[in-house]
Amino acid sequence: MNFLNLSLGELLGLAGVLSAGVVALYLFDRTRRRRIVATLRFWAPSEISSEWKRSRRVQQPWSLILQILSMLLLLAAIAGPRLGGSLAARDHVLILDTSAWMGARTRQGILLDQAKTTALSYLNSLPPGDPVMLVRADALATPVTPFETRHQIVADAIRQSQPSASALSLQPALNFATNAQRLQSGRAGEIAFAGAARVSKEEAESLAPPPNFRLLQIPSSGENVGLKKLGLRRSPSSPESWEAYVSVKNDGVRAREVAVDLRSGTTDLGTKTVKIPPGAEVATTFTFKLAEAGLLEARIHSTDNRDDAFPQDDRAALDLPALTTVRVVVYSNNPESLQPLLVGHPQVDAKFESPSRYNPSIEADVLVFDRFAPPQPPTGREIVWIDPPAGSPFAIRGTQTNAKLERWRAESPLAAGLYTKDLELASTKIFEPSKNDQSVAETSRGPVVIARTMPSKMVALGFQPTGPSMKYQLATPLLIANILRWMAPDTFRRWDIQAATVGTVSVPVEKGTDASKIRVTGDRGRPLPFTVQGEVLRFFSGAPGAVHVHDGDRETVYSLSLPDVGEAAWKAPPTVARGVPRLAGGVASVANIWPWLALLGGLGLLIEWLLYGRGAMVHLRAARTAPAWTSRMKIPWRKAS
Amino acid sequence: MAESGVVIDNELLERLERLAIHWQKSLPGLVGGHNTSRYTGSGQEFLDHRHFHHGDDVRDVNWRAFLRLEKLFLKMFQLEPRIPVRIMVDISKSMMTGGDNGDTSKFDYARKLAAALCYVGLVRLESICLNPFSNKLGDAFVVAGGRHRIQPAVRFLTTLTPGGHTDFFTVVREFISRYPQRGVTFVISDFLDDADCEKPLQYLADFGHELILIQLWSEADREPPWDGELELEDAETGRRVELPFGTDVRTKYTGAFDEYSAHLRGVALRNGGRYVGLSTAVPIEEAIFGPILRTGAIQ
Repeated sequence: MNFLNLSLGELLGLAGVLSAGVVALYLFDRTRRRRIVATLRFWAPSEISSEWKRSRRVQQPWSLILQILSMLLLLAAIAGPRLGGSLAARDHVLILDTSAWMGARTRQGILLDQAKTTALSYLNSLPPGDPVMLVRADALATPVTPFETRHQIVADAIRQSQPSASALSLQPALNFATNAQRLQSGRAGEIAFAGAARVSKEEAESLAPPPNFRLLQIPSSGENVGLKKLGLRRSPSSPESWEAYVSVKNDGVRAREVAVDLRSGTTDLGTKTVKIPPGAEVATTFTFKLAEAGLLEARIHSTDNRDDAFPQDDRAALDLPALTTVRVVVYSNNPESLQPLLVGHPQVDAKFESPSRYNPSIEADVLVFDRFAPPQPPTGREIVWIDPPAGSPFAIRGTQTNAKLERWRAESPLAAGLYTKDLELASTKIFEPSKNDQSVAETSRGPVVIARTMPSKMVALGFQPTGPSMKYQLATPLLIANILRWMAPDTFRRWDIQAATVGTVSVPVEKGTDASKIRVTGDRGRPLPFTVQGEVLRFFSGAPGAVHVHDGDRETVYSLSLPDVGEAAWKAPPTVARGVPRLAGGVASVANIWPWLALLGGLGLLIEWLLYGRGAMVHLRAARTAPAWTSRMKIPWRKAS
Repeated sequence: MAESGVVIDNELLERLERLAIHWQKSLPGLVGGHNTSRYTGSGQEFLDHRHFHHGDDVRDVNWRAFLRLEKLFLKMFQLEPRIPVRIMVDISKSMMTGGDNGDTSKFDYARKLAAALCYVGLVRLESICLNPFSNKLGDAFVVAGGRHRIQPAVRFLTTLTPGGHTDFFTVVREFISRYPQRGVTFVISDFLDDADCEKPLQYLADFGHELILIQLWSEADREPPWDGELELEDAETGRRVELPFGTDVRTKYTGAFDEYSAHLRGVALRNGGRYVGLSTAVPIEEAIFGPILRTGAIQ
């Protein structure tokens, strides 16, 4: 007999504690209770003395013995004893490879089907009573069952396993199995791994299996060409154009030639054929114009009529955002001077109106008042005031001629990239900034460009940006661009969209980036934990989905739709045990006797309750028809509880 | 009618109005009662004739007999006296036991019963004397003058507090010395006196009082529900006894209790009185219109 769930010491200790508890409860149940009565005259003294002498002894010893025996039987049932079988039952950990690569096609189904068959064979080869823990391994090691003696449960868990989207990380799974055996099992058995064991190159070189490791490796061809990356960004020179780059890798042992198709909906955006040497990764780029939102899809297909073992990484898709525009309405008597600044950019929809046709409810994102102040300035609108006359919300200190622009305030986003100091303004107004105003550019006499954020964003320029002195300066379009970007940040947000593999994702960030200003969000805006080390931001996502990395005005969208596969099949050392072991011929049948022990324990408690407990009717009937042997056992009274 | 501690609903009071206290003995008393007596007096019912003596009231002469026989005969009428009704209420500590299981305590039960009997007497214009007692006879409260006088009686009963131990001998001695006039005496008690209460009750009867003994007990008094090792404490004396208690002992205990009740009943009946044994589990109304009514103490 052996005890599966408890050691002998633990069992004896528990039995002692339980017995002590039963005896304590027994004695407590029979402790003297104090009652106040009206009189003591009806308590016959002779009766008291005779009964009292008897009560000096332990009352109902059979009740106590029956209770203790029943409790011990129940405790033994909890310990799960077995009759027969080997005394040296061992705890095994079965690691099943459920990485993305296990979804690779074979002649009979997928690789995981073979791994399941092998794992089930291994399970059947184990002695019937040996506990087995099943661990599913991909990027994470996930225990599915505890150390379970009922192998049917483990087999069901094996059959229900499905390939995930991440690559295998075998060393953490082995460490987990070793720790589980050390912490939870009495006697460690084997750590068996069933799968293709396709891991990263670094892990393949450094993997150190434990001494009790058994490898049930599933052979895989490895002839696979797949998409590794699909990146997308707007062209810096032309915002309406997209630049897409596609990276394809050949994991096989032969050179391959594949065609890369790029399409959005029914629009074919291009096809390129690439030749990829074995083990190499080749990138190709596409440039196309697309204003509407849509789904960008990249596909590869073999042009040399060779099969691909892992078709899941032959396709990647990205959501393309639409090209948004900012609507600008300019009220000016001299629109020709401002047209070169605002017309021509695909994201700026500029409209020029005469001040006499001023409409306070006109639909616009940004209003520009050129030397014009409406009688009632609109509220809640972004406004650019150029050379504002009296009546504007900005206080004017005075006018300066032949003023030299001396300083750009670097702390203002409107002055980003503006460093020129040789500007001479023919005539400019000097503003008197209020406490909510921020100076952007200044002369010796005061600010000439100021920005205000309350109640809405407003910028005031004290000079004509297209005046003779500014007309050919680079600072002019930069200043206007900064103003529009500041007023409509969503429109001019920089987008990077990439299709990547699930798992750990590394994102390059600018040096000195404040990590507290970065946000990484997953599906439905759920924040994801991340780390920033140097110029690399890392986060982990174990499931396919979209992850957004917000960094200032830049947003990078990672569409984690590509499965991650290991680069190399691990070659285990020759000392490692391999294959399914043969079923030991002398395995004796094992009988679990805990149900019988539990039944006996319950029966004992029931009998005790009927004889000594509140089973009054049964007790009375039993008393009336008491057999001869019970006459020697006096049962003077029933229990109170 | 509702007072703290003594509550009798109006419905019961309406039913009590139909009742009257009846006694069996011929007791002397003032005119105005409703019970017949063997004593002659100014009653309505003719009793007998006797020879006229000097000093007799000429209004009672039978003039028809004088005309026929030329002799003076005096008509005697049956006296219907008004006699004192005394209710002794036990307020010893033992009356507070046995009210654990939601039953009314014997003390409350006794007060309610006393209030009900008091109301019955007041309706018939009797004079009621309430006498609380434990180890001595407490201050009495006399109430008379009709049903509207029930409120002071209830207030008096409400102010009673239990205390002391039962000492019938002392109480009866004080009672006899305090009330020389014979009358009907209700004794509402558990009669659990460590000393024998037979002799004191016998003395009371010997002095001409008509005894109506109402013994109260709680269910725990008669059949203790406990099992196991018990440490019993006498509520009145504080004396303690430790013993194991079970079915056999309970049977013997109940037998002894019933034997004692039968003994009390014998004392009452032997002296021309009446006995009622009541459990506090029996509602007051059922007790009055059941066992008490059957004894004839009230009709």
